[in-house]
Amino acid sequence: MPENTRKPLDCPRCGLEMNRHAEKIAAHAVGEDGREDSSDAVLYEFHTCAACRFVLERPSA
Amino acid sequence: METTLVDVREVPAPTRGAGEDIKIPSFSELCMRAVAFVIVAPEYNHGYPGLLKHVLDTNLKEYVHKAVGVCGVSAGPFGATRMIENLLPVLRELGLVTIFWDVNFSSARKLFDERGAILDPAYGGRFDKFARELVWMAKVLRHGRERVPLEA
Repeated sequence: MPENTRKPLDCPRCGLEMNRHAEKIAAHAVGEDGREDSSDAVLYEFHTCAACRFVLERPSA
Repeated sequence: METTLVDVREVPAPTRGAGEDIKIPSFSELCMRAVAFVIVAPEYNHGYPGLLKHVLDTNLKEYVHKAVGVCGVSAGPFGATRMIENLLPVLRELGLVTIFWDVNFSSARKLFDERGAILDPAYGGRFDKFARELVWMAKVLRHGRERVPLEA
């Protein structure tokens, strides 16, 4: 897996730098044959603020 | 420690639509603030209630790497063990982290008095084990969410 070089997220509530702690394939497309098509899946990453517990998700780089 | 009781029947989740498309701001904010969840659910035909799944599906990021324990309730002798087994993969896909201990409330019609107090004192010890593990898991995961970065 390539190193994530994106700038850390700042919490929109309190401004503290958030911690990226999880990734998940959060969307699955279904192909014409009805089977799951992972080529259109989107990998999301999850960030938590230690100060106010706010959580953000964004598509992974 | 602060707890909030949520009855999924009272969460205003529309039945037209599903998942995060019908996110409910008040429920989402409550889940965002929570550090752990206890799900108490009955077993119907070996499964969990559809309404529970419908409400749980309205969030995702609010659950990721948070602790969850499950209490099963059944009219029969098995304490909803089959419901719990079916619910576990759903909870995992939602990003929740399950604990070892469950609490199984069997023969529910005979288990409580008219005021709702539990009649079998053995449940006190069972719930204590459950709660202590849940609190431990919640503390560890909170530290991880806030302080331990996912390695690239």
